[in-house]
Amino acid sequence: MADQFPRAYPKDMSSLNGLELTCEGDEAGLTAKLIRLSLGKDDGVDVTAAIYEAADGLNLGHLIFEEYTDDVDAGSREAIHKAKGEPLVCKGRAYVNNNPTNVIVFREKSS
Amino acid sequence: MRKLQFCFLVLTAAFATGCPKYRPSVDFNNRSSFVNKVNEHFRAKQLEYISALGTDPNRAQTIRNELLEDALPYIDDAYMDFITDIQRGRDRGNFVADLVELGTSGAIGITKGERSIQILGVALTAFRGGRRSADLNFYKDQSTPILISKMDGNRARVRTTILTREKDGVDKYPIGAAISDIVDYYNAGTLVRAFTELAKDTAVLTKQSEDNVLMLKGVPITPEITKPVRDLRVGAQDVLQKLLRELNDPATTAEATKTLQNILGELESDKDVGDILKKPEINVSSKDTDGVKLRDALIKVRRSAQLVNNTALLNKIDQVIVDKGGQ
Repeated sequence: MADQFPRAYPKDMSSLNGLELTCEGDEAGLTAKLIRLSLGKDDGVDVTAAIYEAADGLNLGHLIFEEYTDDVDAGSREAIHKAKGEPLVCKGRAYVNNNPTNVIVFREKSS
Repeated sequence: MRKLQFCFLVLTAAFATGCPKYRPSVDFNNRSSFVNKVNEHFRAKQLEYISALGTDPNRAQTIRNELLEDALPYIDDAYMDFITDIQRGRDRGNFVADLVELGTSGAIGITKGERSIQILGVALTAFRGGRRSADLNFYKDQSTPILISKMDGNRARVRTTILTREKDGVDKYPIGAAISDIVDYYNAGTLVRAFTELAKDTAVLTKQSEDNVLMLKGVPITPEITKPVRDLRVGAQDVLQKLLRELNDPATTAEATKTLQNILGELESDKDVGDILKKPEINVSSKDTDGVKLRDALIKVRRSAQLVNNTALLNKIDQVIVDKGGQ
């Protein structure tokens, strides 16, 4: 199995866009793909936990973050992005502005 | 006397709540109805499809897609009438008890995310326990929009699937599957399907509440980054990606290796980065001629810096990669 790298982001991330930029920076800096996004605790502190897995040859750092309401909404979004050639990266939860938020992530189509 | 009272209660409830309406109104039995005409149209299209199938698969695909696109607006119309009826019915307070109970208990499961709520169980309990006017007001505010939203979501999902599959040829997506999708599209706009999906959502939320906290230990917290930093990081990664493609192509391998040597040469002249490149676990020099090794070394150094949030070092490396490799 490829190497995995856990990352922790602060609970007070300013916005979903801020989280997206930060995850894109991590994908690009680690040369690794995002595989999981979850609420977490880092030494007891509330954080957004992300897991990356070493990967090469992908369109790393080009992600699309969206908030979803429920599983049906997520399914619709997944189908819409799939039709555009933007594969699902992961579906999880993250803190945005101190609030737990449902987040679904897709990878942009390679240009 | 008690029997009389009971009968009176049952009849009052029946008249006050009206008849249940679980799906868009489509009369399949009336031969002069609109639906029957649509069915005639389907039949004609299917005959066209079958005759084109052996000789011209592209034509057959077009006929199949026409059949799909002709059918969906009618289902949309029926659905719009259906949800208008539901909303209008609710405005008059004329809705069915079991519909409301099921819908609302599903809504509670979703809004609170409580694992203990079992949709059907709660519905039955609430029904047996009876309702007060305050409860009715709550239902009026909460349940109908959720049910409609659920049906909208179900329909959007099937519609997207149809749009995607329309691109497939007839071998992969025959007319039988297309008709099956039309039926799915219709069913997606029914209350029965909305309840099923609500139950599934509650199950998903239950699972989430059980496993959504990931425990980390000693991982440094990475602060939010700005757009310019993100662009530099991704810009450098894009260059490394381009170099990988060039290294894999014999026609451009030499040029890519030269670019990597230039990047390493520039980094060696910086004392901090130069020392890191000489470390045994990296051990790379701009004089190396193995392009893959040079690129792997850059990835290792960048990854190590990123893991400890050494932004200054990473910015320095990435700037050189973008300047030298983006030319």
